[in-house]
Amino acid sequence: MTNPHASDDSHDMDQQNSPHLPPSGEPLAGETADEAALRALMHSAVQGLQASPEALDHLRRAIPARRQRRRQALVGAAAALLLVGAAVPALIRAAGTTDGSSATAASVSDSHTDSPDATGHTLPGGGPGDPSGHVPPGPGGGPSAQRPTVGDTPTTVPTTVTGTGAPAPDCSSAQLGQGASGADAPDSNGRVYGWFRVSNVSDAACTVPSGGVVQAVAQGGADPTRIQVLDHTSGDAASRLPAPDAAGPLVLGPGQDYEVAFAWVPDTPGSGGCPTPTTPPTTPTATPTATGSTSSGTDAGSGDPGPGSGSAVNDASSSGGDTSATPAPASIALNHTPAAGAPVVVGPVIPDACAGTVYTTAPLSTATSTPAP
Amino acid sequence: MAVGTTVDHLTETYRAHYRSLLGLAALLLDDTASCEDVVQEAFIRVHSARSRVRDPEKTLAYLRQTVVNLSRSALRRRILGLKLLSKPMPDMASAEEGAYELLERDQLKAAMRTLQRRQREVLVLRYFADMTEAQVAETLGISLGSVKAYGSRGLAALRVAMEATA
Repeated sequence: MTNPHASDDSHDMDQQNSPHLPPSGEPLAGETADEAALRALMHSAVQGLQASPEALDHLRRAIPARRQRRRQALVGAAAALLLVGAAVPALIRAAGTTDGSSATAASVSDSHTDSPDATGHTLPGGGPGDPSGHVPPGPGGGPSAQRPTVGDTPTTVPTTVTGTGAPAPDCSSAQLGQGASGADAPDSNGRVYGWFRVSNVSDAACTVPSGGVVQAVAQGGADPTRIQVLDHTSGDAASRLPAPDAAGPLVLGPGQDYEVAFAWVPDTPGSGGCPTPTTPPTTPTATPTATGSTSSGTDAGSGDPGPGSGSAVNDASSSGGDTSATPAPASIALNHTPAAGAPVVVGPVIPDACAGTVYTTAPLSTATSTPAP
Repeated sequence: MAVGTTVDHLTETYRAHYRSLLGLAALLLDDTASCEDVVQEAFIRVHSARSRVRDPEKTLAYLRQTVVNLSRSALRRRILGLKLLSKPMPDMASAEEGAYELLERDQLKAAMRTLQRRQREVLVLRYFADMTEAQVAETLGISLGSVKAYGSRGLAALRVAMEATA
């Protein structure tokens, strides 16, 4: 059927190298007769082709299926990222990127965590649909227990459990949840005692992993270089914390919880360790209300602000200087990360705290000991 | 069209372009029997990537480019392997057998087989898909000069082949 076209084409082949020369009678401007003929030939060659009757239906089924496959591939990659992400928030907080507004004094009396709600209700051991891709607790504690944690100190030596029967595997991050915390009002020396509480939300017993971390994040005018977190030892300044003992790893039954008690001990009693305002007009007060109400002025006036106070004054005034009236209030936000990488338990914010030490205990069984109320 | 209405978008795209893409595949492919598989696979690939259907005006370009890529032999073999595994399409020889058989005997189709792959692709995109030379260059990922060269040499070779069979 194409022979007539082909013979026509041959007459015009000389024009093929000058396609912009407009021959007459072509369907497209600037096209040679050769090109126009080829165009017509191609269309006529395939004009009889029809889609198979099932073609569209097949596409309607196949496209969602392919999408799902793509999504599954993406989810697999995202799960790996999530695992990394679970360990990172503590680091982010330690970097001091917390904005002061998110951790206000409202959370002092009671605290919350957003993440336990998200993962606290997962089925024990992390079901197959667990979005965060947890590894169910298995013998040997699972890979999550080996994750390096910031400031890890061997508070509990992971020896074999003595006297409590068969050892339970380390709690996985999916098993720990319902984080809570609380803190008392400062005592006359400005010390604040408080606690973090984390529950075993699974229905299997597990061992509280070692390596849980309490972090203190300086906010406002607080001096991050002068805040430290130490393990509580007998004889230190946090006298009301329960005495450390070598009870070994703590096994939580289903629904049981553990607590980490802490004490904030400011460097300078009564002022939260905050530097004394040397020139009252520029810095209104460094210790407005919550510290020892009567003694702050005298303590501040009595000198002994400690080493480095001069620079700290500058820091405090300069950091608050952009807001005209009051400098940013100094405070310290506490949080607790169970070693298994479970959700960070957002802890209290200690107001008017600038420099000092946070003493923490090892995980304590709430059945036997609770920190001082 | 919104992203959420992809089914409608699919139907629309199907009605507008499926047949012409079948022709594109049939002209590019050596074995016309697999051209519907190629077009199906192209539709699935383009429409399962939401980013590709976000701009409906580009859908046809994506589809054409995918058909061209899939029509190259290595990829096509992989698709045929997929077809054997999952039987995505019923054997389509039934209703369209006549059309494909006709195509097999078509003189142009026979002449096209003698062309280099690039020449064939340029001619088909240029004269069947009505692309400009610039669009052909973009679709094939080659320079405009190459498109011109492949096109003119392809035309010449095609003429020789057609005359030989005439």
